[in-house]
Amino acid sequence: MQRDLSEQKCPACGAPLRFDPASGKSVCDWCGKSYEIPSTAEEPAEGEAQAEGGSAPKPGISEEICVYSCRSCGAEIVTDAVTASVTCPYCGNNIILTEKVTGGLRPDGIIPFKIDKKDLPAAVQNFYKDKMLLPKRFFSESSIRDLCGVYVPFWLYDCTMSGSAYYEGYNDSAMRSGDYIITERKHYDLERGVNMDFKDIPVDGSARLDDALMDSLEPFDMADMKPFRMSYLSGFFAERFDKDSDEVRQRAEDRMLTSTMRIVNASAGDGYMGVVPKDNDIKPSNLNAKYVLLPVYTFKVNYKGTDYSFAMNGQTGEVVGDVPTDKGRALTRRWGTFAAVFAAIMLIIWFISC
Amino acid sequence: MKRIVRILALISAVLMLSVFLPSIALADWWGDGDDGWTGGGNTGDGWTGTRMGGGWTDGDWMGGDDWMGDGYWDEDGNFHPYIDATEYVPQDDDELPYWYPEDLSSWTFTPASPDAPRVVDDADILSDEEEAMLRAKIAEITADGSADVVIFTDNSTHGFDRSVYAADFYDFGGYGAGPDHTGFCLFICMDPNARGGWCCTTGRARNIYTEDIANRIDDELYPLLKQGRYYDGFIGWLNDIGDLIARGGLQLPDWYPESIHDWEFVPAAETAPRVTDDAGLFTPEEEASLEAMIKSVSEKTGADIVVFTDSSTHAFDTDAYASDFFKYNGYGKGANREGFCLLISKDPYFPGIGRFVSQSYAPLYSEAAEYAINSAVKQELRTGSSFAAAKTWIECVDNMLCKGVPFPPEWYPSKYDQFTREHDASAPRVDDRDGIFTAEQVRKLTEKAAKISKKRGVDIVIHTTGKTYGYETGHYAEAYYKYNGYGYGNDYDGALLTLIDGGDFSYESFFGKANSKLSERNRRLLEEGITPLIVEGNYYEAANRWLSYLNTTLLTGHTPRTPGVWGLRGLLAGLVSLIASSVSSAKAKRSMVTVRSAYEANDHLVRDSFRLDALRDEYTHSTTTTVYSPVARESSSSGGSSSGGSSSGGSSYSGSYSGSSGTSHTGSGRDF
Repeated sequence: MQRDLSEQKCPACGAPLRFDPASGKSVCDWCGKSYEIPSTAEEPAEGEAQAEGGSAPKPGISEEICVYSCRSCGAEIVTDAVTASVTCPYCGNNIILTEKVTGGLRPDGIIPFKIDKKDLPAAVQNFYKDKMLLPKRFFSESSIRDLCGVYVPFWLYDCTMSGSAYYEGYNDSAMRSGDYIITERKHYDLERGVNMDFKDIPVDGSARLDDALMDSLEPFDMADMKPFRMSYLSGFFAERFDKDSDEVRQRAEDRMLTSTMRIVNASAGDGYMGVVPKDNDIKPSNLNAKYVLLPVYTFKVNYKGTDYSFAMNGQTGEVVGDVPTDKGRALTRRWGTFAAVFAAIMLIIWFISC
Repeated sequence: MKRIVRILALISAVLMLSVFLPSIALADWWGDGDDGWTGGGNTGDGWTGTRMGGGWTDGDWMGGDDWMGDGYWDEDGNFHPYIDATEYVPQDDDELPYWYPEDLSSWTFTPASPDAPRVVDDADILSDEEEAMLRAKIAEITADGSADVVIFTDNSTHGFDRSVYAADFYDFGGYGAGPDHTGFCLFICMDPNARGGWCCTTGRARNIYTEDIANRIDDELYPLLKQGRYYDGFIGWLNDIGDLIARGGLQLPDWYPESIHDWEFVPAAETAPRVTDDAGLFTPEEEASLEAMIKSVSEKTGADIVVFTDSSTHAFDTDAYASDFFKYNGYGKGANREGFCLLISKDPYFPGIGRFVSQSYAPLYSEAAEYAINSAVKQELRTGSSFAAAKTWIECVDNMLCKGVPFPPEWYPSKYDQFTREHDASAPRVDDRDGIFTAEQVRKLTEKAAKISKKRGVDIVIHTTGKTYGYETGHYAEAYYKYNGYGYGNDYDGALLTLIDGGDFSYESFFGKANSKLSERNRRLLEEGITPLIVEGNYYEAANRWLSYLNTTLLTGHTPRTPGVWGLRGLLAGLVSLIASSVSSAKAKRSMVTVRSAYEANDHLVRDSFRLDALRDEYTHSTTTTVYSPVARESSSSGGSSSGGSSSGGSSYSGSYSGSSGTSHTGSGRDF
């Protein structure tokens, strides 16, 4: 089935344009020209649906197979339902699947890539530096593969947490009567009204990507958020969400509630010697969700036949991922530290006793 | 229900019987014929009775209004009306009584004349007849002149404590027998707000008026006073006091001065006997033997030594009696009349021994020394030999004067003997007097000590003893080393390990070269090296290690440390290192973990959006916890004018207190 495509072409020579993270512009690798990307959002196409918040795909939609035909070379490109941007594997043409990013699926914003692919090895090496238990030859004997720059769909939540928190507070007073100390504890019921605003709490909307991995890439600097333009997608993979805002909202609410209670518990007991939390009815309100695309590099590192998954924040360069632990190094560190500290202490004792 | 009623009835019956029966028993239902009982009928069918706090007659029965008011009938049939307490008007407490000196600071004691009244009833609770009878009784019990007795009543104490008021009346009244004003004074206060009595004793009467005796006498006296039977109470009290006086032997001995204030010291002749056997405990030969011993010690040491026996201490405490004997018989040498006196008392009320030690010799006669001497002397007395007891005491005094302790070791020389210090190569280098080593251990230690001594050029000795004979430990060790011939060269170089009392204590001494070679730290380490073994009871190993460590120390200047010390240090260092390595390991592992779910949203909090309102603060309830936490209390001591007070058996007893004149008294009293 032929689907709507968009291909960013160089107006000068007609070659495919790609987004260059370093310059933040669309560049033509053929003639070398670069073009500014407008800072305003693209106008919706005539007849394009404007559904708010997007709609989640049907269950199993990511397994749906979509077939496209490359306009440059005519090759058939097969993707899943969530993929929104691909590169033709035959001619290298950057193809944007417009139906995945328009209408109700149009993102509210996008943080363009700032880190170039070629900067990845340096970033990864930097990542390894403080990994004290990494096998010695991990860096030299490992290889990066499956490197993929992908715009990951995120929901950003703004919310107000408000309600009441209930505590039991107490104050003690003590007095001596003969050989006895009598302590009187006065108990109080406390109610504290709470109001707290949160902004731009990101929760990834992709079922494919590990939530913890995406959480670890935070923070993203939302100041770099730009209005969505398809030009940013050229040269990178992009995915549309397959978990809608309602589905992932609870994760954001849980985070907000945890932060709220931590702050409130620290302040609720002012004027009391101690407080014991009892209950709360703090709820989110004015919840607003924005659909954005955030830049992430994913790659694998193969070491001794085992693949280790990594991700890098395409904006800040923060690398996260599983790393193997060298047991020998762990033991050496533990017992080496033990021996060093032990020797130092015994030396000090010996000097003192002399 | 019926059962409950029966039980209640039974309980009621028991209660009624237990309340009424004693009342019935106490009542004197049967008067004699004069009181109206004629055997029946309405005429003369009367009775008298007594009741607690009052008495009555039945006026109707006796054919007329014979109401005599409240009072009681005595054994002789005499009626004594009670004094109505409401008639008393308490005097102004700020006014001093008439007998109180106007100027206390210039007051001097003036003895009361023998004719001065010994019953002063200012409260007017006695009739003239009763007063006269009481005076006669007092004259009877004080006929021998050994004690004075006074009864005094008043309506008020003028603000004084009852005990002080009684003492002041006695002192300012000039009462008392002998130079120490021995006597008894019974004071009764009729102030309705503070009715009570106090018996005050002075001089030697204090020694015989013990707390037990006071309680017994008070137990008989105060119930009668409470009933208003003052005369009966006083007569009973005088009988008790009379018994005490007769028993206590309050007469002063012949040698006691009539007036202490006027007495002048007259030194006893050099040839005057130093053994006075008034109790007849020694044979003439024994007496002569003791005299010879005393003479020998006195000539050697210059101290005057006296032994005195008596069958009565005349109510003096034995030590006080010994002191007075020594003093008033002119004993003592030098300007300060220095010397010792032993009293062996056969007084049944003050048995045992007493001693006097003059001031300059007091440091010798320490508590420990006195305990040891008394134990030995009393042991001899228990076997029935007063001569052996006296002899032991003289020997102890001799030892104290010559060697510093009453029971010194045989090797300790007298300070009056010439001592020349010499090295004795034959003296044992392991002298196990306490027997804590086996023969084999002694042999091994001796061999090792000899080897080290030879190599290091210092005389090494190990000595065990069960005690230090009363010497301070360091002095004992040095004396042992010195007087037993140890030490090399002019400086008597050497080292001595002393194990005392089964090895419970150890003491190290170093002399000459050894002393200068060993620093404070070395000595401390040597001691630390053997202490754990001593604590375990491993004395041989302790001595063995001491020899080894001493050898190393003398050779290298450094004292080895015990394995245990380094072991403990290693353990502590290991613990700290383990903690440090665990922390480091945990930190390293933590750095490997980069994938973590986010649980908070602190970074997304909108600045200044946090608002916390106190909607309700409502008090609900209180809980109380009580913890026992005793406060450390200092032992209380009463200052001022009284001390040693106690309450027992219903009476307050004071073992020693002072009146306004400063004289010391003993006493007891109660409210009634």
